[in-house]
Amino acid sequence: MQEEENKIKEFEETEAVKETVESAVVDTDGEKPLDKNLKLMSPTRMVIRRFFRSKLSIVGLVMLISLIVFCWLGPVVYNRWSETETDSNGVLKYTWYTVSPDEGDIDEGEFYQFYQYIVTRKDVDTLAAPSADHLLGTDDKGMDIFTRLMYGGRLSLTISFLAVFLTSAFGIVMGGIAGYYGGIVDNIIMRLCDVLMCLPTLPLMLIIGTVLDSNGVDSKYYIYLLMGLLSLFSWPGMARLVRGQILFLREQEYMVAAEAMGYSTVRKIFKHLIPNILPQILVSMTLSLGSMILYESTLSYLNLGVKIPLASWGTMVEVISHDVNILKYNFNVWGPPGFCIIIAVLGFNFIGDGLRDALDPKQRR
Amino acid sequence: MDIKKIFKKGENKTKSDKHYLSGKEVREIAKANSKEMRRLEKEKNRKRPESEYVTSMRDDGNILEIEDLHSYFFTDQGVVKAVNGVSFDIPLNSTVGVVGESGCGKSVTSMSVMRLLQGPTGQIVNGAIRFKANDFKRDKNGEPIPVYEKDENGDIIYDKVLDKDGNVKTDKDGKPLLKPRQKKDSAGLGVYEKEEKVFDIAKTPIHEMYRIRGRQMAMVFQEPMTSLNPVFTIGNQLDEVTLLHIPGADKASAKARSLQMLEMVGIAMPDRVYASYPHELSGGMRQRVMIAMALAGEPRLIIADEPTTALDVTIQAQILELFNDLKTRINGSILLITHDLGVIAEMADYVVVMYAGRIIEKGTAMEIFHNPLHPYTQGLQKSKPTMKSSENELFNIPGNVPNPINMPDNCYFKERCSKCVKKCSGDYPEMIQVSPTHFVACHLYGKEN
Amino acid sequence: MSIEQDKINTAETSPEEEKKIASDGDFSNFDDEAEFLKEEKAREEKIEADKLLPPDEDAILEVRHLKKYFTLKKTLLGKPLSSLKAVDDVSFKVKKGETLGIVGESGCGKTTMGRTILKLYQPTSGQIFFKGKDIADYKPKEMRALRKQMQIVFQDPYSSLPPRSTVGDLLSEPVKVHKVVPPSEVKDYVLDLMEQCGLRDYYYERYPHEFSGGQRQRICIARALSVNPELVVCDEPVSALDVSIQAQIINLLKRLQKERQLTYIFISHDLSVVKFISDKIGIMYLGSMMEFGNKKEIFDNPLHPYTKALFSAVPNPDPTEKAERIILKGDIPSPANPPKGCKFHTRCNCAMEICKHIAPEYKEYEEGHFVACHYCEKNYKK
Repeated sequence: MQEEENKIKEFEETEAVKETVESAVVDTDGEKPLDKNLKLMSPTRMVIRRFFRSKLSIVGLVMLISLIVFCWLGPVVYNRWSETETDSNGVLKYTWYTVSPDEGDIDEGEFYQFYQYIVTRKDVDTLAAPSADHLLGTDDKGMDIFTRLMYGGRLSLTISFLAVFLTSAFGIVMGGIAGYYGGIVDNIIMRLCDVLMCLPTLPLMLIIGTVLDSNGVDSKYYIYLLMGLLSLFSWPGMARLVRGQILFLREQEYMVAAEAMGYSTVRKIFKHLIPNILPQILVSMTLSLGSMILYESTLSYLNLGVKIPLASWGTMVEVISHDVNILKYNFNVWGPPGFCIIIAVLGFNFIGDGLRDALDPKQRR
Repeated sequence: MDIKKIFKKGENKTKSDKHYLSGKEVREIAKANSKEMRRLEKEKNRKRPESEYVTSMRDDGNILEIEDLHSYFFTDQGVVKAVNGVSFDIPLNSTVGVVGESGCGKSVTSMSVMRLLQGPTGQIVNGAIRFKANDFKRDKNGEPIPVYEKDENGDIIYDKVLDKDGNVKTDKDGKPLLKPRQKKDSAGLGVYEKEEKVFDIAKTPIHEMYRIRGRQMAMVFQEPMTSLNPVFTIGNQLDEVTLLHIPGADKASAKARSLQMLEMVGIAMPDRVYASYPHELSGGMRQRVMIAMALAGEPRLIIADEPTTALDVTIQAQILELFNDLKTRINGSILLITHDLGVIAEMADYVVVMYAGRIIEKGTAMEIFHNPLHPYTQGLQKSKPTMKSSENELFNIPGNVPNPINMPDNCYFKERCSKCVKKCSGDYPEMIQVSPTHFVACHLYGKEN
Repeated sequence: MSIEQDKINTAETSPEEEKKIASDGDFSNFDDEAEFLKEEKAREEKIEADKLLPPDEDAILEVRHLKKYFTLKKTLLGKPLSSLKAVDDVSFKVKKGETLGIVGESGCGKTTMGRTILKLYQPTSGQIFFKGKDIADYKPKEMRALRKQMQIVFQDPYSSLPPRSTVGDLLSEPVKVHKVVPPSEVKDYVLDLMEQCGLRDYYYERYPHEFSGGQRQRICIARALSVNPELVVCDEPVSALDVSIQAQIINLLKRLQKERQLTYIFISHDLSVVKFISDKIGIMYLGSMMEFGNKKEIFDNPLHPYTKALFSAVPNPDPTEKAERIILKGDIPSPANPPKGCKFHTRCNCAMEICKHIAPEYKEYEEGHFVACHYCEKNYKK
């Protein structure tokens, strides 16, 4: 008994000694157990957390995801009609005329009456109201609006994505060159930007559209060409952003450190500068996606872009421009695509704002 | 060999993953934070009767008493207990220096005293900050009561009221209208009766704080470059303080007062500085202007948050001399916050040493500098090379300043301390009184020792 | 802006002082312009003469008449109209394994000088001999190879680390670029280096923002040392750190110097730190070297009035000792518009009339102890 107690005591003592020794052995520096208590948020989680802190960015994300699912998965599920298919299961229609016979053929005294039946089949079901057959009705050509909404979305979104990528690529390269090299190169590129920014884009597009038209360019490639040209005109915004960022980052001490390390110019630009401006570029790209969708719609509305029978949201709204009655009585024709445009633009803007807050390094941790 | 390396890498990976918060933990923290923040915000915005925040001082010789102050920040990574049970007093006409390293909560203490914590993340959770204000006495309508000039017999002197043309105004009976003559100070500003009133700042509603801030207590910030508004002239910004805080002040008297203040802080050409913009002045000049601005409301307490850190040595010497000079000329106290022991030694009467949100030692400047008791205070003094010292190696306190999230219950300094005893693994040490003014929180100086 | 400031500055000299200054010699008929041109010519001649001297064999770094001007205004054709003389005719030598401390207030050009020596800025004129070779005219490509031998540690540990690389990445990048070790050994090399600099091995995969200032500064030091340099310019490496951490970093720097035979150029505004770490000290004011010499000489026998004032301005962490303090009047003039004559004369408490007109010569008074001051020249007795 006594022995056991002693043993326990001894054990306790050695433990205590161990403990003091452990706390006494402090390495000259480095991390102490105190810091180990402290858990930080990983960078990714921090960004995600900041992004989801704002309700608006969640709304934006939901909007966009549902739109994308609708456009790309929708046609797979709802494949009753195809994009350009017109509904030719119209109802039979009879018209009759009374025909008065020629005088010579008529026997006097008798009463004749002639009827002439003309059976016409209204084989295209135009401007139908929403029904089980056509969830959102049909347009003036008898094409299913719901289906066209999905296909139109595909086209609208794809085109805007392409245009934004093109614009950003131009912008990053030009802005990067201007910002990094500075001096006369910077001057030339920035003056070019100024000139491009002076040009009125829409009238220019109209002119180019007419030129393309008269040269008989296939309407399928039409919009791609136009949006490509649009990117050529709208890169200055991105270029300025990139240049500004690079000018700012170039003064940062870690860039001076990179210079002092003797890194090559290529390495400095691609390994150190570009990754650090990516967040800003991403934000700016997201925000400009909204405006690109609007541009596409505008061009299509002006009959410059996607041409019927191909569908895009802008083209679908365009019908109202040549028939006032549709604007007046057939909301189901132009309402849904308009709504889709609003949703897409709002969604991109919300996400852009959310991203800006989330990726801003100046925000508190 | 290769297999070993792979193993090593894997180990590294798990370690580095472990030090991040998991999604579940993040959500838990966010949930707890938002609940607590909502409660505190509600409490802050509640309407209170005056009786709740007007109290009395524990010791009448003090101008500020901080008692068990807890100021927390509710961040995504957990609750940062930036100030965790701080108590100290500022006696009248003295300088109290708060010294500590970054993240020790010294600035948050001063922000709490000014009630400038950024809500909803930053909150005063608990504690009392009693401040003896010397505010204008107010009548029932909330108007300040003027002091009138009296003749030899103690009767109030009356002036005749004049109209625009300089004629004496009369009442119905033809007697001239009389108005008591208000006392004026040297700048031509009216003098009002004052009364002492003790506020518990932690509970005072914000609209009441507007009357205290700037007038009763003023702050001098670290960065003189950014704390002045660049689009207004110095004069404009100085006048504003007077116009805002002294009732009945007009432009002319405000300017007179501003010029007085500029002269008081040792600016040789007050007229020129009065008319210039902040960017036309150098750092030292701007800091002088900031001090003049703080003085304009005749404060009883000046909080100087690292007032010389951004300045050069020679300019710092000028500003310190100015502070020492002002100490005798203003009827108030200075709360000096700095990390520089040298500055504290030059300026302070009392010193408070903070570490990780707590006070670890406080006492008079003599006690702290000649008889430092806490190992941290000792280490701090030894680790700074001085102009006279000539050792070959500096004493250094190992480890890092801790980030005050999830602090353990034992002494926060334990891991960096070279004088650890067994008891240090126990509870956080109590404040132990060593002399009437000297307190230390360390197990080395318990009753047994 | 600067004109306004200068007016205010000069206004602060009291009339008595004016009188005192005026009593030294007669300068009423002094032609500033002519004298200035004469002076300029003499100086240029000296620079030309010095250019031909061979570099000092002992010194790892020798700087001769280094100048770095930043152009403020240009004509349309790009000819400089006015310039900021950030570094104006500075010369010194450092031997291998020594630490040169450079002290000065803000705007004195110490940071610019540090970076110009490393050719991060192209010097306007002057010679920089690094191991006996003049690198002042080296092209960026030639410099890149030389970067291995000279490195820099910055003041702000927060902005000097790239935010999106892990510690391991940013430490192994220079090793890979300069091929310090074979690719297969890079990681071991970096881990070894981290250990030497007091960093734990599991920091390898963390990001800089997760660390406190002191640890970041260790990372910066590790990065600078990753290429095995011989010369390290430390640009205020401890100014942004807490006192207890400062001591750690200074001790680390000292230990590494001993282990690796490093030469430091230690730039700081904190005199006590410079005193602790340096062997030689240079005191700069408005782009010029005011005093230069061994630590012992500078501290025991400061000759320049500015040095004396600077020393006395350092707050003393002992409340009982209230030393007599020399308080300099006024502010530091703008380096874009420095005063004529001796640059320090507007604030000097020993200024004479001659100081207003003629810049003093940078002369050797004792062996290795250089001073540029008229007052000192007049009163110095051997």
